[in-house]
Amino acid sequence: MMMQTHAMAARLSKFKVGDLALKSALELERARAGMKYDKSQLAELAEALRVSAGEADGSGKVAYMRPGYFEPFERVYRSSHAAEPKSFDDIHKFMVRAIADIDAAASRKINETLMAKLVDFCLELNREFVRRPPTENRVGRRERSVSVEAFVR
Amino acid sequence: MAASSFPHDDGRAALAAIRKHCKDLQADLDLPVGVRTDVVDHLCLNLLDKVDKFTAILGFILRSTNVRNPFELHYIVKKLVSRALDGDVSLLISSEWTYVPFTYPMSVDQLPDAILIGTPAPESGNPLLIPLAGHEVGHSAWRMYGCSPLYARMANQAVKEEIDRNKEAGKALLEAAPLKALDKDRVINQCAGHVMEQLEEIFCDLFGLYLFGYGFIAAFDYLLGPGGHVRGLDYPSDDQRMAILVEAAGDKVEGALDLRLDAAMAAHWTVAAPSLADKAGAEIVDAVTRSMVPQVRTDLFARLQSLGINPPQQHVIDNVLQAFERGEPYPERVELGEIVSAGWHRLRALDLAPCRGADEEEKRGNRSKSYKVLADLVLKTIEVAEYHDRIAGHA
Repeated sequence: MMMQTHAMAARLSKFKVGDLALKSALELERARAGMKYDKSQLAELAEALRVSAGEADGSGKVAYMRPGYFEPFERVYRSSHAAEPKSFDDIHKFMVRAIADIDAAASRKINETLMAKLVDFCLELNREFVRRPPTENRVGRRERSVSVEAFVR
Repeated sequence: MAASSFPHDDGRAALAAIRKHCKDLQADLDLPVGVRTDVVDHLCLNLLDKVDKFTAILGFILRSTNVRNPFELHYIVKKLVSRALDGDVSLLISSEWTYVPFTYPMSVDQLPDAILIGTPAPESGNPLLIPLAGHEVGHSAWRMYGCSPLYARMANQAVKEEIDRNKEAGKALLEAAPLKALDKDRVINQCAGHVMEQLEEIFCDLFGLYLFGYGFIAAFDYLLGPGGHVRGLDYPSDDQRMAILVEAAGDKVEGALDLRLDAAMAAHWTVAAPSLADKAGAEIVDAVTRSMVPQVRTDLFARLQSLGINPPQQHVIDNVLQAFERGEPYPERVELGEIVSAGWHRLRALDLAPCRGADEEEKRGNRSKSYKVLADLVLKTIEVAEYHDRIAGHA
């Protein structure tokens, strides 16, 4: 049934994208400070974005973007550009560019400006994809630790 | 906790996985001087999330050692789950104070190799609810089988076609957003996202059905019937779920399991209508989901078959049922799905049979005694199956 599905694509979840984004932000900060950093985290994030944004298909059509990922990517675009995207193509090009930049950071030293821009991008991805519960849920106002909808949902 | 005693190694394995995860997180704290404060904030939020989630999981691991838990189920359920997921997993079962069986959803991301099944404490004496865990394990299978990338493109395309085909609903859906090219793309991707969410839930139901057969449908009917929960787009309606199960269990469609069902099984399920705002979206999403169900069912059943797993066989269920009717556990090695299916057939027959007793109180007492006897028969048969399995050298 699984055919030859790419390993990353098979296990990919929004949580995974968000988690990789934060790890990548940390690695970029280490790189910026001249510390030893783990390039594989960046390569993994680039791969995760490739399969979720449809970049791997090269078609530039929404049909190839992972269902349910359009809106988070759109919000990341907005916060990065402070402007509305005019078409799907704007978002797609933005993602393709970001993937190329992450790939570059994973393979060689990049300039400080681009690095700072990538850290912003990664933090936005983390915010969008790791949907955090409101803080008050952590301090005793939560009704239950696991939603009853776990089965019904 | 690691120093305390565990009834089996799975608790310790889950603790070891959490410890390793925490060590990895500790490495994240090796931050350079002058690191951006917003990066630190995100890291802190992330660590708080992990502490929050792992605390709940640690509590579950501890409660799984409680002697009230059905340890008899552990071996046979783990065996089945490991075969279905085609890998070694840790299985922890605990009774919990929620009324529906569940697995910790976060454990899929945090502890992918551990399955944590919580069963309702008020039903702790009822082994017939274990089939519902099949649905929850299905969520792990959905990831392990790589279903998302397999169906994602189909979903996007099918939504686009359905919007073009169902002009009225398509128009209503698009009118809800300003008509720009981007909005149409957004709506298509959103709807396809809901289709994928619905398909995952249906996949999980079918996964439980394949492993537990009639036992799954009966447990589903018992705990969730008559349905009618508030309807969102991300979830198939209850009556729709039941209809899909009945179809896959029957003999009307190709590849169905050909199991004996109660004639009126799905008849009392109520229909929950979506809100007015979701009406057009539900029409599109439900239609696309419905059109993809046969493919999902065929793929899933073929996958499980390729792993050497067969669905419960009706003639075996009948043999086990006859033993239960005689008040005996079944002496041969049978599959868990066959045991619980026979258990549910027996339970339903007991429900319909008149109960002896001089007055209502005595009748109630006798009925409750008959349920307890049945639960014991089911558990004993499970232990017999485990015995045969271990003796056969499969352990």
